Amino acid sequence: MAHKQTIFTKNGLKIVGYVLTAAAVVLLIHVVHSTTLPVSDLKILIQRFPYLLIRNQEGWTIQGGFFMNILISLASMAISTVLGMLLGIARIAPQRLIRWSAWGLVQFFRNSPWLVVIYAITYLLPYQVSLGFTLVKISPVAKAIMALSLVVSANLAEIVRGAIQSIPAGQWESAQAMGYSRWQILRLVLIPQALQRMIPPWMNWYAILTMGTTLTYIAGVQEGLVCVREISENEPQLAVPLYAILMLLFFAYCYPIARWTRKIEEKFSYLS
Amino acid sequence: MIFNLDYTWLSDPTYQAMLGEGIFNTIKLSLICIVCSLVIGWIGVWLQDSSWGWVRRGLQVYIQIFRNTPPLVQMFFLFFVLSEFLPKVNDPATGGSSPLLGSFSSAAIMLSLFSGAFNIEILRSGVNAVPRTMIEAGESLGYSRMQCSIKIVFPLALRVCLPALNSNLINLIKTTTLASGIATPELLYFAGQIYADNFKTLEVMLLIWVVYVLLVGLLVVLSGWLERALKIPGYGT
Repeated sequence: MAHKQTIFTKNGLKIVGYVLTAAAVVLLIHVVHSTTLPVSDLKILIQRFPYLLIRNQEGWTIQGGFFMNILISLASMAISTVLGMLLGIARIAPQRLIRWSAWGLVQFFRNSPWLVVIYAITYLLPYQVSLGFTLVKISPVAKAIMALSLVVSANLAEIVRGAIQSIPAGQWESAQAMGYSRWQILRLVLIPQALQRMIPPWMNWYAILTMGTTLTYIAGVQEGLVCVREISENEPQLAVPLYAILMLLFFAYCYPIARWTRKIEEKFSYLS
Repeated sequence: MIFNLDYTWLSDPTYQAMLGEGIFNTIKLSLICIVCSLVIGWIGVWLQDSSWGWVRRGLQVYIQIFRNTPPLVQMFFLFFVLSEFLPKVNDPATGGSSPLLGSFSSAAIMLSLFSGAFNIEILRSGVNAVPRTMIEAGESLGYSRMQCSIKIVFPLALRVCLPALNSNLINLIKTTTLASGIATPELLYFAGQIYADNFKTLEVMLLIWVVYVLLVGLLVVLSGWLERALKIPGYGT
């Protein structure tokens, strides 16, 4: 049976040591700098922590905060994966018109700064749309998800194209020799093999997307950074520790993803 | 709605001057950060071979922190930390005190550190890709370690890691837009000033989008030219 990683193993103790060191450094900076007692500040921090996480001190409904960042990243990644797959297949289409328009779209969205895209989509889309008989409100969260999906799908399209093109040409040719149509080759032969090669860069882009969700404050989303600013307006001495705690939250979410990506890359390195 | 765009405000020389200054400051910030992050990258690669464990571990901590936290939060955190912990400068003319490092310097420091962390990983992968036999051949010809690094390892490592390095520098230009959050006078900040003035948010933002795509596209073309110009036949991809 494989060696089980608990916090009492050597690596587990190392991780606990790093976390405690980080907490001690944050506390030390705060004690050296602030004028108030650290105990009362700790009490305020613990009391406000739910506000930072879900922007809600009374119940359990997620109205914003750090969990909103996670939700936006999950929704946006789901949409981007589908769109990116389609765009990536369009990039290698035999028809010149499809290929060139896909190239143009991918280049345009890969080269745009994310903040500018979120700004533009926020003001481009109306805040409500009338579909004949009903009025559909487009919330800030929806606009943020759409904007992030546009940029990330362009980047995923390049990954899909690279993965499909890295499969040996023999697969294409033997499938064609057996009479498969182009869509059948893609669906049954190439994409199942390409999926394995796509996973490490795909996870890397998920981490980048999660870190890009902090930019959505522009659209009006009440996410983690907005909550940090609101809390530090009332308690200005807590500004630096709160930013540090938000960074630690993102680190705790993204660092395991990075480690896992590296492990998957090494496991699949026999393919390249 | 999209065809009712009104760009008559572009003929106003004030707005033209603001946009021009914004573009100039964006290019200036990008160039400073590209150079500084490359320097940080090379210093980091050199330090990674250090025989002291705490230097190697400290470098890993720096890299992992800057790679796994959002750049916007890093920007605000560094801005607050730098403005509170560094000494304040007293302006004799007005009698007021301002922080030692303004928003431009804080943004430059943060972006260099952020991009430098990625550069260390990229340059390290390039240096590791140089075959050991090349270094042994250099040593057998009498090159010292420093001469080996400069004349043999560096040119080959550069060609291997150039695509990843270029994509990181392109990402750096896109990340300079975050500096507008701490009131750095770059293009996105001036765009905000313009639409706070004339309320034409959509038109201003679409124009800024196209300008940024062109700027980044210019760097993409330059980096592609550099890759082709530095190509050694038979080596690398």
